[in-house]
Amino acid sequence: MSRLVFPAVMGALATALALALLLPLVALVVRTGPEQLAAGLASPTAWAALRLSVITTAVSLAGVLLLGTPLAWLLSRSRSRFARAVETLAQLPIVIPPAVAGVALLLAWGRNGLLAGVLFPRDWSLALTGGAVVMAQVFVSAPLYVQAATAAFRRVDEELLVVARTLGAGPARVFLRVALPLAAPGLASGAGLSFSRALGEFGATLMFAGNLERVTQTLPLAIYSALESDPRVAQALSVLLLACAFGLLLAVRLAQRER
Amino acid sequence: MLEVRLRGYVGTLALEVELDVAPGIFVLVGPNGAGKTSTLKMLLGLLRPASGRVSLAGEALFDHQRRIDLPTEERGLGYLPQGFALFPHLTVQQNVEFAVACRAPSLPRAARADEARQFLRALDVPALADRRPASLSGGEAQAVALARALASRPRALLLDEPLAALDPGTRRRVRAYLRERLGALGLPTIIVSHAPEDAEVLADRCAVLEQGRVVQAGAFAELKARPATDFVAAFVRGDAA
Repeated sequence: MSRLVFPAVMGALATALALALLLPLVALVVRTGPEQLAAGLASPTAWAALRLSVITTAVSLAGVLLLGTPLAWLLSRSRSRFARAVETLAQLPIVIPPAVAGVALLLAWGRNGLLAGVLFPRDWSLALTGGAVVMAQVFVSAPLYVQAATAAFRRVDEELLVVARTLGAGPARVFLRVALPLAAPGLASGAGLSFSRALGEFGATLMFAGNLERVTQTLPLAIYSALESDPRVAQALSVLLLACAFGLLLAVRLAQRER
Repeated sequence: MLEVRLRGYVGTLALEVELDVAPGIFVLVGPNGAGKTSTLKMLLGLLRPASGRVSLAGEALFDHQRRIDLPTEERGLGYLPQGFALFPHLTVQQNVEFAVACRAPSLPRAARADEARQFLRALDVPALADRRPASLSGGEAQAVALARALASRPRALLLDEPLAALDPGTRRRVRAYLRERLGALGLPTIIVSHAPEDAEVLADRCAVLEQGRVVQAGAFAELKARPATDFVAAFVRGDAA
């Protein structure tokens, strides 16, 4: 009898958490019928938010890949304390509250921000623009990609890189023809995680870019606004985002399995 | 001639190696931890010596006094590491083409493929061209790794424990194969090994490394007949490996 207690307790606790995680998602799908979905998606707000989300998330992903890949490569190659410190600091945006991220972005890039006078015209502010949406998305999603990409590059056998150099390959060829292809599944996983985080970004975007329809109102912000004015739109957009998230998770899993 | 005069530190091991490697096979033997692989890494430019000089055919690859330290990719040293390090995402043919492309980047693709096939034929492994490295046996992988190293047209060859990963039967066969192939190349070739029988079969000349220092160098028969120290005597007998 006592031999059954431990597995029973473990099973019960695991089931409780699984239900707590799945129930809201099931409720969302079950309580959003086809009529509500159609009515919600027919709203012009919905399509404007979807379009803005797709464009800004694509731009932020491109920026994350372009800038994050070299950072991840350099971090993976370096053993210095400085590199370890940069690696730790680069993960901070993952753990800080979104509201804190929003305030930090305002203080860096806002009208009176740290770099505003240097980079932008005197009477112009990045805040409350589409650019601010991209900045907020990059800030919260880049660390996820850099973390995954650094790990992927570290998994590449050092001996392969050494041999490539002895064959006469310069640093660019070693990176492009050996390291990048071998790390590709890990980089794809990281890109998927980064994309889904950017797509779902809410707090920092709200504080830095605002919630201006057709300008900075992404899908998550549109859901927030619609909850008070038209819950059908909120439900429909939520199901849409859930479908995107599920699709991305599937893609990440498949990429990991290929590894 | 590959001239090696190196002094350096690897952890707590003080390395002091002086070798003159003429065209032919030079086997550097010693027990684990003696500094054999570290010596290779210093020759390749992967570890920086504290002082000394390495020159190949009169050209300095490393010279502490003259502040010369060529990067690995410019030293012209072919390298076969212990696990052969074939690129797993490329076929055998593509592995060898990689080396050709590094040496002659402007060569058209067809010519590159042709040249790669020539090297595979020279090592008797053209049938493996479309195979992936994961599907190769130890002996096959070694032949392909050698073809790839030779495709970069190195001026000297360094092999790190080329027989360690092979079973005893394959080891005997591959030893004879390496003796024949490497001997015919006419390149200064350093083979690093912990097994005295490798020196006995393969070496034109050899050196015994103990605690980072070359304690004796010469023909294997000479080391066996007139060992300079008890360690050398025990090592060539096979007692100190």
